[in-house]
Amino acid sequence: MSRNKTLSALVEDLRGVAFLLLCVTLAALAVNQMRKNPLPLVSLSDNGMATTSAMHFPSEGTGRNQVETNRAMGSHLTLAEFQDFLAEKRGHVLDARSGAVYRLGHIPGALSLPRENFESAYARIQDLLETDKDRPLAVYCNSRSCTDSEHVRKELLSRGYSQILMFKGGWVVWSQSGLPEEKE
Amino acid sequence: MTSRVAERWILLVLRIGLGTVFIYAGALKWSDPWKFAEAVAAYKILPESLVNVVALVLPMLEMGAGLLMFTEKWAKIAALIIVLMCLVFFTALVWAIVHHLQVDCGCFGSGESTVLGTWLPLGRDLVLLVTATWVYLRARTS
Repeated sequence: MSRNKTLSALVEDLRGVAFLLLCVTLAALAVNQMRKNPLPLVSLSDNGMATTSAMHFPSEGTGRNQVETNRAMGSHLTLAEFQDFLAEKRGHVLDARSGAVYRLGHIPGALSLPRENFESAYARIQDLLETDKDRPLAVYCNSRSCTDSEHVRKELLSRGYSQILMFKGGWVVWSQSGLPEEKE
Repeated sequence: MTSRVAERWILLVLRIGLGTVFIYAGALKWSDPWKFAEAVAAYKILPESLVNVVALVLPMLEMGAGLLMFTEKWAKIAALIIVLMCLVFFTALVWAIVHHLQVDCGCFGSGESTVLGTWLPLGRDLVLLVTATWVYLRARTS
């Protein structure tokens, strides 16, 4: 009897949880839409599959438009294109993730240029990068949904670098593909 | 009688503590949903189509549960929500450890991207889980 009472009380509480979850979900979605740069719920990735936030950046339009813009600019690299970029040694590869994560594992040859302490990191590699500002740079961060590489791209653009390519799949796609990793 | 009064005070303190922690954690995540979505995606548990939805709802749920902890009437439900969230976080962190994922915990914004940073949140999550469970059980009977 007591066990039944406990169970029914728990079911009652879970009903309350479900009700609140519904309210919170609606509130979260509504408030998100009121943001200046709302996080998209679902967008389209470059391969046409449903994915999240793949190419959305706060100040540069959203979703499919952004994918198309990137394609038009030729600034978006698929994994295969990025591998060609590396094989042909077209330019430097920059890792926009935090320094701690970079040290745990990164794409071989990539230079650390974290968004978080961009200025000091940039100062360390500035001479190397400035030898030829028109040489392409490929930037990546963790995954499709990260924005660190975009912030780094903007910083580099403001410093006069003209060819900045984005490997949007980032570390997740690279490591999931079983490609070699480098540790520091 | 004295122990009952003491228990009520302890319950109140724990409710306020848990509420504050979850409001703070939720607000940090809510302030940068892009970053939090990245942290959620790094666990590789959810299909990509659900990552952003979770990144939006979870912080709001944390803030909501945190706020409700301050009310007598809803504290029990809030504690249950926190218990369930802690179980989800615990599972995700264990998953990350088992699969050797170097993830940013995402618990309080970002910045815990080391292997140690997965164990530390796991311990913290356990403490929160035990505390919330106790609050849930005591709030029920008080």
